[in-house]
Amino acid sequence: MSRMSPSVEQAAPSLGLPDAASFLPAGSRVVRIGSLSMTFNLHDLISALLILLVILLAVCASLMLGSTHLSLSQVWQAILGEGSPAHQLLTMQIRLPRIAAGLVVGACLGAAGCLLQGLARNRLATPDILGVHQGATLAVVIAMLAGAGSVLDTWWAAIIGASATLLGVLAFSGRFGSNGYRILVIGLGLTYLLRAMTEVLVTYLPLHEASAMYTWSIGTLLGRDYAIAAPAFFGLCLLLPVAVVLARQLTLLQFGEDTAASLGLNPERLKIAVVLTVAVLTALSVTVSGPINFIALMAPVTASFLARPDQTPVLRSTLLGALFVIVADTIGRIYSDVETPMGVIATMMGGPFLLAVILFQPQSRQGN
Amino acid sequence: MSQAHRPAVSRRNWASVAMLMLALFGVVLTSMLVGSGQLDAAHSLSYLLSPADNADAYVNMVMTELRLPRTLAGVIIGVALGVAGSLLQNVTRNPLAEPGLLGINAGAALGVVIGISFFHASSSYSMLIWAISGALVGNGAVMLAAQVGAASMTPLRLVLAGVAINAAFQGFTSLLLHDHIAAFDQYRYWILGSLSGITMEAVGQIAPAVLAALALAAALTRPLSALTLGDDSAKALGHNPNLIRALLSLSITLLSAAAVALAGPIVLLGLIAAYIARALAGHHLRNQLLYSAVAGAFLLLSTDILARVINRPFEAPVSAVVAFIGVPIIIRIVHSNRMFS
Amino acid sequence: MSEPRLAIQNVSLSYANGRGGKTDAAPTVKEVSLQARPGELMIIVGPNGCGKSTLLRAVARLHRPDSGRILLEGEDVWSLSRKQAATRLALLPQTPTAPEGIRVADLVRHGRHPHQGLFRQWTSADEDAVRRALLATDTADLMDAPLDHLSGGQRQRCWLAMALAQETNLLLLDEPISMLDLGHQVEVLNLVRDLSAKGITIMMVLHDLIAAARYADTLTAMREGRVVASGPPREILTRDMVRELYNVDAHILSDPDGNPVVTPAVGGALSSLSPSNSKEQSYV
Repeated sequence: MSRMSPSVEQAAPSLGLPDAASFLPAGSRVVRIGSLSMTFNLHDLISALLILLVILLAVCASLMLGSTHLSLSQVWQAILGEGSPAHQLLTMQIRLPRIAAGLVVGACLGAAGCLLQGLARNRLATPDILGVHQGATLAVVIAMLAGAGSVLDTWWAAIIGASATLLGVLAFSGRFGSNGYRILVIGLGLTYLLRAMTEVLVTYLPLHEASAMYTWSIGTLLGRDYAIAAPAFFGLCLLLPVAVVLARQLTLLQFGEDTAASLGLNPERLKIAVVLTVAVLTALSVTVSGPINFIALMAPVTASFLARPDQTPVLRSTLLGALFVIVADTIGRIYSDVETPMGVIATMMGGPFLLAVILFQPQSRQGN
Repeated sequence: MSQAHRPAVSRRNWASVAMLMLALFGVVLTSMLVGSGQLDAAHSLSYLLSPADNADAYVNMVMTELRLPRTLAGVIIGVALGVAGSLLQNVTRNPLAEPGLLGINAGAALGVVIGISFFHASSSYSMLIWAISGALVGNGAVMLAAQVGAASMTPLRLVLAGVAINAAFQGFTSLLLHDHIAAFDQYRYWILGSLSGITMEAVGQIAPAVLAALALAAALTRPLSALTLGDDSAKALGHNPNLIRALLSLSITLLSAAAVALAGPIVLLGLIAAYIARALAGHHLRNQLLYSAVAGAFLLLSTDILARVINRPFEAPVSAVVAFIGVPIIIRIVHSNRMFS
Repeated sequence: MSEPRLAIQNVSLSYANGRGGKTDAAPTVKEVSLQARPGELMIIVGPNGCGKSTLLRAVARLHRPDSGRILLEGEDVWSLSRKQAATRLALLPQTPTAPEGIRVADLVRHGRHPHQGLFRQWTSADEDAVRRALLATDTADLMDAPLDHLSGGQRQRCWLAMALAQETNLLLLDEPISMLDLGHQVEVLNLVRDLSAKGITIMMVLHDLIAAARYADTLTAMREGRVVASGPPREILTRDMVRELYNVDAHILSDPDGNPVVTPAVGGALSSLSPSNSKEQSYV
């Protein structure tokens, strides 16, 4: 019958039989307890731990560097509640909350970028290139015009705007994942359109709000604290497990929609789930820091260098996103006396990165 | 080749050109009559009909120092960007190529900001020089991207390479503007792309560069036609493809840089003008250039008028208004062209 | 006769607004009824746009029929959950895609997906199934090789291994040999016949009438969405049928084993020098 349980006798080892251990990728370990069977991969684990270590170093550097340089021991004393009050204030009230906000922003972008790339089967399909950032920004401006409060109170509007944009790109480009670069250029066009609408609408805002909006729209972590990062943090905690499950299914989608469907996947439902998850993650990041470009490109592409071809490395991409944001923010802080917004640094890092990906991306990846 | 058809085609062409010119005259007139300020159309018209009778200093100021330079600048920039777009599309054989999308405008803008920030450039001449230097770098980056990818550089890929080039330039521009508060204050509006605040003096300084570039483009029309058939065909017809490309790049660079120096980076105008020109003129290159020049001027002026009245008394950046027309065209091109499926 | 493993009952479907740019052909299936026994190798042939691939995709649950039923061991395939269905029928699409650089073992392993879950990630049953799939397709030696480094025939065997790892009783193959040269075609077709001999029911769409006649237990000929003839090749393959299908005059010969061989008549009355399996030919 169909659900036959394969008998072990049939698979009795004989000469020339492949070793079962080598079915799984190198470094994989299986844990079986009763009917429970779980796998994990040492190589994946080690690369994730290495990224965590680098994040830790970056956080230390970010705590130390800035307009006032602190030594590591001064930072440590401040964390323990010792040392000069000025240093305690700087570390605990300014830098640490800001780093926390940055980690959340980067993690959201890293996860969102990885999922969207997996769905579109194209490394260049990231929320910022497809216009999701601009959609969220426009919605925030509209909400502000409607009297919903300041930029930072409108995270719900950002979610609506981001979802609507991504669904719009999907509708305009036909099928996801089979159009190669078409979806990207349509996303690019929508980005321009949404930016234009934002620019026109911003002129209707009162001057002080318009200028706050302008600063926000470049993307910065200046003055961000735990309270601002809280909604994004809770969203991340809720959506990261979802992202891991979706990533597992996205791996199947790599074999084409027909094959994925015949392996028991529902591609349509997966698309909607991914689109909504990506939209929410992106929107949450946008509400904390403003739209920051290219993190959602750099994180998953770097993660894919560390991962195997048949993986959607969403966790490592999440970690790398957090890392890149902290690095960009720290560079922006020490680059000159006037603080440079993190979004500017990310754009400067990301432009050449994007060019390299385009030039060296093999043609067959385009899914034509 | 089709000698027999030529007169008929030509006659139809001249009819279309005449129509377009008429439309252009219409928007030029409207541009002189309509503003975001308090001077209404009737007063403007009476001033235009008999400027001598009109002694009102305010009207005189608005008409000659605000609207006239603005209108002239609109025509010059529109022509420049339209022709640049058409040339670039034919050189790269890509219906999505455009100085703004590919990063040439952003390069010119970076050049201007460098000039302002580090060298205190203030005259239109010096801004033009800086814009040209920046546009040259931008153009070089585009050509490099097109060459490095060579075989695999599909039209859509080139556009995405443009996103990258744009990003790199914009990143530097924001960085400089952020460090130089004075420059930021002065050029915050310029960087969005706008025709407001352009002086007659600036127009006078930039116009010769545009005229020179247009002359160069006109001289290159025939070789470019050969080049669109492919390098081998162009060689067989006795042209040097690389020389043509270099000269064309020079013309495109000059045109884009002049537009940016006057009005800041305006994206998508070249794309729209070239699209309209291709629809009207087919593959006939000279007509394409002619149409895109007129269409560019018409479009820029009419969107500028729209930008003035859309939210009185404030002005919307004209580049934003252009995007409303340009984006549907992008989507249309991407959907209708077999190259992109 | 035993209960049919697969029963297609009066199935009609059309997708004029089809997906993936297939709108120009708009292939439809009209009132098709077919049956297949356990271990039967059914090959469907017919001119381009005759609806053979559409029918296959309907069985694979990729298109829902407008009317009629598709029964798998007596159960309507549309009454099954997606995961249940995936443990009972497997599809190898015409042009499968895989992530660049993927290892053969990893490809085949993913065939186990319908049998796995969040807390059942890799059981010994999974190991056995993958081992059997690799052995059955003779791909055990290729296990560690990247898929892109293999020949067309080897690659197709690996894809078959992935489908086999699903451990289904029904295997659907959409033109599995269309991109292969003759040597690799024979390699894959021999494997397919071996698999059916092991009890798997296989429904395969082929362009190549000659190969189809050589390998099929049941040859099904379709034209304009309808089944023209279905049965053992030596019973149904006639000169008239070939003419009706492809508008080509052909001779039906007999090979030394008694199987029919189709050879187009050169300079025939209807059309000349047009090979029956030419992909370019269109009769729509």
